[in-house]
Amino acid sequence: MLESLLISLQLAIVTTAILLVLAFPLAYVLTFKTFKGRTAVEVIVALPLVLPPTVLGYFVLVMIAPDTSLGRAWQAVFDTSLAFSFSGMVIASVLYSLPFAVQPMQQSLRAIPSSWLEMANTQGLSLRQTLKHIILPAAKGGVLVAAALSFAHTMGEFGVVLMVGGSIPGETKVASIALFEFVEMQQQSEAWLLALILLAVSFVMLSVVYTLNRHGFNMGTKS
Amino acid sequence: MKHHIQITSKVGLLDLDVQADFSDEIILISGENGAGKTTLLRCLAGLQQAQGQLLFNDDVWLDSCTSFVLPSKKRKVGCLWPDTALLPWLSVEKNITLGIEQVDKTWLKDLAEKMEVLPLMQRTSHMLSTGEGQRVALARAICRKPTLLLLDEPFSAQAPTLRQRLRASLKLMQIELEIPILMVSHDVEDAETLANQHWHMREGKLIKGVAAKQIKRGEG
Amino acid sequence: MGSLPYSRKFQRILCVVLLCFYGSLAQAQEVLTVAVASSFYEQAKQYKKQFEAIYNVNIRLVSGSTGRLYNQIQQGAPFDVLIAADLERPALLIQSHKAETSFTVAEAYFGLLLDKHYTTDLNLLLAPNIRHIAIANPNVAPLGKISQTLLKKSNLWKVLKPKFVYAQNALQVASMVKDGLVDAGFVPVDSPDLSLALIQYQGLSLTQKTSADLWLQFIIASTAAPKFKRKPHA
Repeated sequence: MLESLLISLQLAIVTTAILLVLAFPLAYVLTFKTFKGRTAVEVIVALPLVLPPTVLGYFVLVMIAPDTSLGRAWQAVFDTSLAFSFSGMVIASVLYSLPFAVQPMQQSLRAIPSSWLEMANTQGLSLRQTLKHIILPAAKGGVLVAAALSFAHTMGEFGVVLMVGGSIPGETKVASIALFEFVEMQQQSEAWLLALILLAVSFVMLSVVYTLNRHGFNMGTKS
Repeated sequence: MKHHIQITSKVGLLDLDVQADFSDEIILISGENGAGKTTLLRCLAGLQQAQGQLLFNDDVWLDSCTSFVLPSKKRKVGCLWPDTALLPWLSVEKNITLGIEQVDKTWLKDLAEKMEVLPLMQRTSHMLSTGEGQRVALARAICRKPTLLLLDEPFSAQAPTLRQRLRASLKLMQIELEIPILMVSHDVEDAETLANQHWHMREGKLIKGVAAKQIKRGEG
Repeated sequence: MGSLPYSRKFQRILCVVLLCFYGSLAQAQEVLTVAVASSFYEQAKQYKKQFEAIYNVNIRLVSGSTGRLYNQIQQGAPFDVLIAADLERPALLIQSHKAETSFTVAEAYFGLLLDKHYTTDLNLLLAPNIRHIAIANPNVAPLGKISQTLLKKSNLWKVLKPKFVYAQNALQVASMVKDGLVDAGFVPVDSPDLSLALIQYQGLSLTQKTSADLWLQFIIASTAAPKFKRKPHA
């Protein structure tokens, strides 16, 4: 049981870290840049919200199977299979939680008053200075929410990892699958214990993040 | 005459068409709402698309003949708008010196004194009153020693006695920096004691030489 | 102009009448909910088609691992029939009075599909080019349990463990093998020569519906299975 919890935590942390790095530039571009196909990108980012998790998981599995170019490349570089591995799960997790990371960031970026960005222009601020003094501090709230949601969402993942991971104990058997199998095998007490632990972990995680996020600034206009 | 403006711009229902030559002086711009005062300032700041020519000393900011447009970032313009856009998480001092690499400490102190914000320097900006915020934003506009100063009702949130002192300070600053100041205002006192020139705008066009009394009554 | 409101009213009444009629029609047809072990699912689909062509019964098929279906029945799932892939769970169900009897209704052979070929040599699983082997969870799927027993008997279970990928039931194993996502797995085979295991499916009627017995007998008749035996399990 503890082993599966550890895997879930590892998966959540790695997925969240990757998403924070990946989602911010994406959110930035979607908020501040106009380009052809922007709507298409936004739709693709939002797809995991409506796609059944098992479909997403299966799709990723087919994409990283040993006989695909991706699977073969991975095998050549790392000498292990990408399918049914922790890394394969990470890929599916990142895709699955992508909208949960991008959208809060987008919202906080969109909330930046245009007068601030105009001020950055007329004051002659470089892109680096604009990011440092205006955009990143303003996005802090969104980033925290993105991190919290990605973490919690990954901890609770089931269908996706079931498809893509193969439920291998010690490698891809996450806590939610272990819980499911406890129930299947009618091991009620283990199931309850694991469920409570998962609940507690998520609760603590979210409490920390939302407390940190309470000290936000009002970005309304002040004349 | 060192500076030359000749611009047209279409914004919504407004057809802006302004032509003027001036030197380093304080110019008051008055007019009804929607006459184009703010639009004119925004065009000069580069925040609004315009066609024509903008020449400040020897710097070309806009030249439609050669399709040249200098972006806002490069224009060295100081702006004060009704929305002060102060960054609430930075101190007053940091807001004023935003974007400036090397800050002359004596210059900064002098400026802060004149704008009456010296006691506020270390305060976090989200704790300022409206009037204090406006003065900080004014200091920020001037701190860079810009080529042109654009002020949109810069004293609107100040008490009358404070306003008098600020007018005097602004005048001193202008003489010291030798730059033109374009200032939108509905305050007669500004017109009478501060401005060297007075432009009145109506429906996007410039009308010069309107008397101060007429501003007060909203005519012209 | 006066005819329009009448036409509308008439349409509405017609709709209501048709709905009632359709509703009663639907009710007239009996629904039989049949839970089948995943390894029997493909066959069950065929029987369902044939059965429904003859009898006025609408069969709803539910498939899953025998263990999963067993749990659901114990928790009150409204199944009328269970077709199980092992003997233990039918016995347990009779013990807990969820069914009266169980009997063999069909059988199926299972063999090893390895690197797209059928083989009976389990040792081939040791080859290095066999990276992933799909196994149905032995705790809930009888086919998985059988696979485990077979491999343990050949002293291969422990050694092959790093290669195992666990599926929830026999159907998932089959689809993983078919789609080339794994290199080997236990799948249905047609000929006894290729087979490594035989599963005898037990049929249980869980409710008192006559159509349930009808269905089970139909399967027996269709699959030349051992004669209908009433074997009360103690």
